[in-house]
Amino acid sequence: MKFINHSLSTQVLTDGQLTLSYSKITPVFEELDRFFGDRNIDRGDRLALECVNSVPCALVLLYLLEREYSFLLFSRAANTSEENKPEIPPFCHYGLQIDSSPEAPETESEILFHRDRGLKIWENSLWMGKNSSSEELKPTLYLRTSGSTGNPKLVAHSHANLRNNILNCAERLNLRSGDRIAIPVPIFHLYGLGAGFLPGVMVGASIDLQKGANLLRYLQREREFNPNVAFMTPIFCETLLRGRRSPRPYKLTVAAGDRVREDTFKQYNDRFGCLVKLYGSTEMGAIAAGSPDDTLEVRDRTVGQPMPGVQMRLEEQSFENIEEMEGTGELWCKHNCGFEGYIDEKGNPLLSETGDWFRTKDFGRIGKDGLEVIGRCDHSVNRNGLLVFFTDVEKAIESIAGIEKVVVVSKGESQRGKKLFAYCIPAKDTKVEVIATDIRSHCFDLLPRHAIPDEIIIEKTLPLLPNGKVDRQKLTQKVDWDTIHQNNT
Amino acid sequence: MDKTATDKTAMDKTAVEQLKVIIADELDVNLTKEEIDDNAPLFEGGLGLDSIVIVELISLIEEKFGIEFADTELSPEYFSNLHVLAEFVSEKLASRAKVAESVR
Repeated sequence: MKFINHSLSTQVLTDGQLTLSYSKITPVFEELDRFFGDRNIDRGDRLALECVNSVPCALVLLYLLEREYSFLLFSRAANTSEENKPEIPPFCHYGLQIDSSPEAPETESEILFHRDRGLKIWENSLWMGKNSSSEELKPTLYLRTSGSTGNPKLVAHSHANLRNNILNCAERLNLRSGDRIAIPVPIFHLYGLGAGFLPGVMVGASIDLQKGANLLRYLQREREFNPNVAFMTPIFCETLLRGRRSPRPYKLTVAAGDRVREDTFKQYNDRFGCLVKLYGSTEMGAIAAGSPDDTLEVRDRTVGQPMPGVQMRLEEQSFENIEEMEGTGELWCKHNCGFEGYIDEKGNPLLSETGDWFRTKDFGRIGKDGLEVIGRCDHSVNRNGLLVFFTDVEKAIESIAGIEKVVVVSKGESQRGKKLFAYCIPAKDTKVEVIATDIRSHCFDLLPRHAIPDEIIIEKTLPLLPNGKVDRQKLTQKVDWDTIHQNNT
Repeated sequence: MDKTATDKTAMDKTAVEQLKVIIADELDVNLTKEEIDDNAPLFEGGLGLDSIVIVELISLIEEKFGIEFADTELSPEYFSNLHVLAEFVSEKLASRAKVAESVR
């Protein structure tokens, strides 16, 4: 995929530590040509690149795309140590990793190749050998679905479709060569990569890649880099809204990965300029996005029009409150530049159960002026951009001594997105005194931060449906009363 | 040590203690006052305050100490550990007192 304009000398890629103009990318790529050449690595060897938001990682990523390698892009799991080589799927012949440089390198060649840091490569001990099929490997990007608590799946995107996805985003968001784009979201996810970073590179914009973004780091980078476009999560929009003291108009802010609260949307728009929502998935890439030309009301209510080549349909379901839910159903999507399909760890394609149509598992409406996304269908919520399955939280809390059963429901909003309530039933014969604050404290050891319930409520019994299952709807209806009641006793 | 230097150290020390109370009692972090190390970084690899908690901490500091951060003061260097933060807070308090005096 050729898309870098190597002649631009004023536009840069930066990560705060290292800044490189587009015109200095060529020598880095030539070094990489020698590096792969020396090791007889060619396009038939599938690779795995461990990625963070840094210029060195971004350069290797761009190289692999421009030289049409097939590779998996992944991030280091939070609990693995620096020394351990991360485990990569058997279809990947080599793993690539980049040590961040402690100080700025003196020459371009030192960015990736320095005596004691830079690009590291290792042969995968689980490698299964070259693809036996005579078919030539189509350049492919592999990603894992986020599945923050569920099982992540491997997804294959052809470079060709990825490119079209990137073009869609650059066009819809009206990105320009003079833009300065702040990317505090990870570029190893398809939102940061395919909607932010690569479209920015394609139009030749300057780009600031930020790692471990928080308010303080973001404001520091903002002062130094002076961005006019930013790619954010809704939670980070709220962080900026609460933390930033003075208004600062951006040309455009894009938010994706979660729902933006209505009050946040208007306030953000007032203080930081045009905000648009983008809707997509690891499988489909960008499905829809708002346009800066849409009115505030449309940008707030919808995630914009579907991208060119995208068809949407609704699978309507019956709800008790039919009038309220009219025209609402599960969204299905057919994308002419979506993914090739899921694959297994050996790289073999897995058959799709639903053909060309992709089930988003989101509730929504298809309107004339854009797509409206209401929320996840199943028992899960999106918190801080991460999907939380109620069942995972329930299982974790049930592992605490003295707890018999746990049911998680969601209602209203907390600082981290949808508010989570965990109803806990103590075991009948327990000798342990079950105290809500202790349970919550335990949760910090058992669950990732975003999956810890906001409220723990101890109950003796739970309302049941005639079939014996817990009546979650009834529980959801009574959470407010229970929380107030519990806090007062 | 002259008197102003001693005062300053004492002031910083009180501010460190007050900050610890804020973190332990008012932030959603599951840390006790005793578990908080003055010299540990506030973010990853230290106290582990995440992006959401930091915003909370800033508004609590403003509320409890009656000071206001400017955008330019919201910088990682002032939040590198509790000592540095306490020193910064004390300075803000001192300069506020000075302003109040000159107005009088």
